[in-house]
Amino acid sequence: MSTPSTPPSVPPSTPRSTPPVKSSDDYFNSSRIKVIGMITAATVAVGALGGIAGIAFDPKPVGKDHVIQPGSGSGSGSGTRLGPQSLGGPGNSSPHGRDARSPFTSRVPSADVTSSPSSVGSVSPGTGGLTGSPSDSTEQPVPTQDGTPTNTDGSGTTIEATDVDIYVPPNWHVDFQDENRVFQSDDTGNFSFAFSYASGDPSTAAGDVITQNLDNLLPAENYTQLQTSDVQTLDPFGSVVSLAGIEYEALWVDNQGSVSIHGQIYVGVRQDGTVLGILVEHVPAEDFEAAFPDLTPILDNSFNRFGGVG
Amino acid sequence: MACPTCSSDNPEVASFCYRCGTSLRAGDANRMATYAVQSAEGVAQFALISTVMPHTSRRSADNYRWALILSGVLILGATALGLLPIAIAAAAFLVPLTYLVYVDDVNLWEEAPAAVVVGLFVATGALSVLVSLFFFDWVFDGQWAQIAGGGRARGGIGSLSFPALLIFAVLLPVIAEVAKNIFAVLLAARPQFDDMIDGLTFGVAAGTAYAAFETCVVYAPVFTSQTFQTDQGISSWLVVVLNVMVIKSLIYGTATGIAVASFSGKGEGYDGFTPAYYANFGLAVGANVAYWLGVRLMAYLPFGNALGLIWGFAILAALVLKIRMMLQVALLEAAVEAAAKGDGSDDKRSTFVETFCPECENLLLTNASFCIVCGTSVRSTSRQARAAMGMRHVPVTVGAAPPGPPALPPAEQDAAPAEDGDA
Repeated sequence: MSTPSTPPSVPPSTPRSTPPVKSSDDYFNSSRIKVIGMITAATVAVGALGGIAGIAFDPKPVGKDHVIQPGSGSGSGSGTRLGPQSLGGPGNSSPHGRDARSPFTSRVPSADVTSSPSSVGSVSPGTGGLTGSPSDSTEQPVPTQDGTPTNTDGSGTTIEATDVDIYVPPNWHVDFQDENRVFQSDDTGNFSFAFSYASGDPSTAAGDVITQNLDNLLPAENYTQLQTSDVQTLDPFGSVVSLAGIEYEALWVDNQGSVSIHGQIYVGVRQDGTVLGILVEHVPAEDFEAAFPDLTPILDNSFNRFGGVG
Repeated sequence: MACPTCSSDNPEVASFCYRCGTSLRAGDANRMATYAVQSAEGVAQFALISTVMPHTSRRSADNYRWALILSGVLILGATALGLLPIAIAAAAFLVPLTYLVYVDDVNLWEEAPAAVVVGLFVATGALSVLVSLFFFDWVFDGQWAQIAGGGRARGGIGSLSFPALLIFAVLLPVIAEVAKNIFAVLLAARPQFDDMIDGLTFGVAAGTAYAAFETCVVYAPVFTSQTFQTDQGISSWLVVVLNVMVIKSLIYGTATGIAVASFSGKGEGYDGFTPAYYANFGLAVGANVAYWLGVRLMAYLPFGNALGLIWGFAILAALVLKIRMMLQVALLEAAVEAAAKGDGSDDKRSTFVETFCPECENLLLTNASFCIVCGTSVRSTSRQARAAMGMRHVPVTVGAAPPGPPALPPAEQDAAPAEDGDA
């Protein structure tokens, strides 16, 4: 800045009065210390209020006994609910403070990092349609006006790479599909994501597939405060030789907001080496129990079909 | 020396015309090198403090700079420790709280502190809560869940819900901008707040208040989470907290500031709902829509949150430059017009007694609208400074005095010019 430190020597008019202030500091109400102190103190105070709110407002913990036994053969969405499982954090320990962490790791460690579950192959065609009264048809969902496939009676859609059928319940719509994946939702906070591929190895443990894919299914960039249950080994049935499930809860976040999410992941391995994984989740987490009956038909019907018992 | 623009007589040593602010230096006729609000900066310079707090001086701006840095470090520290409820609450309110301190520091609220505080911060905040609950919880919660919990990580952009995108990246910014403008415009229409800089200040205050309360609603799960402290996703949260604390707050503030400043207009009184206001309101809406569209679409890319932050910074930089250009043009044009008219319409905005320039501390001449040494506009000074300069002592009848030899202030006011009202 080129500002001379001396006043102009020849002002256009004679000074009429003594300058009423001694320096420009008098032009402001607050001193430097006061400004910095007030802003910092106010920030700390608001942060403390946020902390109090974080302690005071805790919803009722969501139960941890939702993992079901898909493939009961009923195909009605009434899979057998297994015993309560530990889900890190909520309900298992003090919900606040550093000691609130579950004894279970927040990100399940991979059981076998050498095997890759992502190879894609082909499998033999399925043996029948989806089960359950609303889903005896394998017709594709009818596209809606905005281009999103939806259906009113329940239907199915096929993962092309493995020819595995995924049940689409009434009033759900398929939002995205490619040769290995199907993503569907129902506009009420319910979501389901299914993936399938041919591993070529029927001895693949379903639990390992879950642990190896957890970071992909629940990316750490968005799924924070992730708490998971143990991977539960479930009873195989039909042509399914390995079956496992896991339950989780997380705080999803991005630049526009955050939501609490509660969900489950099931993976089955068939005797021909085909892997089917289905993730179901609900937003917000506290409503998961109420929404769970809307999610189980996807698991039951899809795994029944996958195991050839539907 | 006669000013080439308004023909006013200036001292030979003057670098700027004391009446119209024209640069008398060779080669700087358009004054792009010297910002009329804070002469140490260029016009096309990305300087946040002097842009959103135009009544500060170079020295007092440092106070806010250090306060924001210190508070920001504390907030990011809390985030790094995983204390999310503390970090989000403090980040949401950092800029609005700073603005409240600023408004008090420069005595902007004059005789209407309740109107400024309640009308701007509380009422705009209440509107923000209502609009946010309407969109995120009451009516479009299903669509919000499509965006938030959907298959973004699994289905990629192919799973993007177009209706949800329109609702949260287009419709919401339009409604929100209306809500941000309401109380700021009401204040800017009051006679004591008719300056463009006042309009800008109220717009920024309303925008940042809206952002703070909206943040509390959309990040409410942080406060109701079962886990108070986390060690997961800290890098994501650092990006989010930076966005909430700086980018989002200032985009909302500067965009609304531009709209409300054009409501005030550059001259005496407020311009009102002119085509210029609607154009700048559209600009504010467009900036918000561009910001949220970018955030939403970049979220499907790797490191989407960080890319959204960078995108927001680019939008903010454009808005800051727009404000600086707008104020520069308005301050200079209004002074030229007033000097040309010679009807005394600029008396309310020029010195009535000799005093010090808040920026360079050289003498300001009587009847001056600009410092002849550094070129700072006296319209950008604080209310206390204006009182010290005798602006508020100008009788209505003196307004007709022609430019040139300054009018004499009343003798009794020379002794204690700062005793007026709440100065």
